Amino acid sequence: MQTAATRSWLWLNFKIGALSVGVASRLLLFEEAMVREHQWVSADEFQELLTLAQMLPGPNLVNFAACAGSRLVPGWVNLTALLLLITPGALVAIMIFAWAPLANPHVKELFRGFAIGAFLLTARFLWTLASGLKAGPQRDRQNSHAATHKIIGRYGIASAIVVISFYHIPALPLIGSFAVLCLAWEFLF
Amino acid sequence: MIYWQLFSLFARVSLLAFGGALGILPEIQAIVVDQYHWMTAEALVQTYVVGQFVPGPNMVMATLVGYKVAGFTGAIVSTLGMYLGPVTIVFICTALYYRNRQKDYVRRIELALRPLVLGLILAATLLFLTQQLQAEWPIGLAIGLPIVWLHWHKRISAITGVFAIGVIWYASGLIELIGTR
Repeated sequence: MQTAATRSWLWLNFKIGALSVGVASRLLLFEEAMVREHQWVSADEFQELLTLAQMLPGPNLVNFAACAGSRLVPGWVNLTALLLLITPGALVAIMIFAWAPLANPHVKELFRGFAIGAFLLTARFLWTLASGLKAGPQRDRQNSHAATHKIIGRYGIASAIVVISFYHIPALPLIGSFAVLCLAWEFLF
Repeated sequence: MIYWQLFSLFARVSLLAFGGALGILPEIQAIVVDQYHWMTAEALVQTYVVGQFVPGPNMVMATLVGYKVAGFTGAIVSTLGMYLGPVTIVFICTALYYRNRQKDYVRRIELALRPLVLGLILAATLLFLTQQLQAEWPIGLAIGLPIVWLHWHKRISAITGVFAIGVIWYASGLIELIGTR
C-alpha cells in the first residue's frame, strides 16, 4: 500500500470536479484511479472508505474525497484537492444557470445523454461494491454455514433498500433504521 | 444578514444530508421558497436539475441558490456553509477510524454497513435511470450496453464512455427528429 503522490491526487480531484457527471460515476472515477490505475488502496479498503464517507452527513462525493484524502495525502493537499473538486462544477453551474438556454431541447437532450451515460457506466463499480459484501472476518469464514447466511442477509438488506427507495426517498429515519438493521444482522444473528 | 442566513441554512441542512441531496430538498424548499420567498419552487427544482448535470458534487444546488439570492458572494457563502461542517466531521471521524481500525468490532461495524452503502447507491442509480429513460429505455440500453461492455473490459475509460454515450444519445435524437420531418 502506498500514499498518493500530491500532484496525482490534485489532478484526480480536478479531473473529477471538472469532467464528471452523476455521483456514482464520480465515485467510479475515484475507484478507477485509486484501485486500478495507481493502486493507492486495495478494493477492500476503497469500500471501507466509501462506507465511512456514506455514513457521515454531507455531500457523498465530497465526504468520500475528504475521507480518502485524509488517508492518502497531507492535510493541506487534501484541502486544496477538495477546492479543486468543488470549484469547477460550481463555476460551470453558475455559468449554465446564468446564461445557458436550459429550456432549449438540444441542450436538454445533450445533458440528458451525458447523465444517462454516467449512470449506466456505474454497472462495473456497483458489481465491485456487491462483491465486497462477501468480505468477512476470519472467524466467520471458519464457519462457512453461518457466513453464507450472513452474506445472503446482506444482499437481502441491500435489495430491500433499493425496493423501498422506489416508494420513499431515503431520508434520515429510513437510513437510520436500515443502519440499525445492518448492525443487528451482523452482531446478533 | 442575507449572507448569514444563507450560510446557516446550508450549514444546517448539510448535517441532515444522509444518503444524498434528494433527502434535504424538502427542507431547503420549506426555507427558501415558503419561509423567505427567495425563489419559486420551479426555480429551486431547476437548481437541483442543473446540479445533476454539471461536473463535480451534485450539492452544487447550494451554490446556485446562493447565487440566485445574493450574487457571487452569496454563492461562495452558501458553498462554504454546505461543505464546511461535513468536511470537518469527516476529518475527525477518519482520524478516529484509522486509529481504531485494527479492532475487530470496528471492522465488523464497517462490514455490517456495506449493504446500506450499496443499497443507497444502487437505488439512486436505478431511480435516476428510470426517471430519465422512461419509455426510451430500449434505445438507452442499445446505446449504453456496448460502451458499458468496453469499459468493463478496460478498453475505454469511464469519462470517454460517458461522453460517447452522451453524444450518441444526442445524435440518435437528432436522427429521429430529422426522420419525423
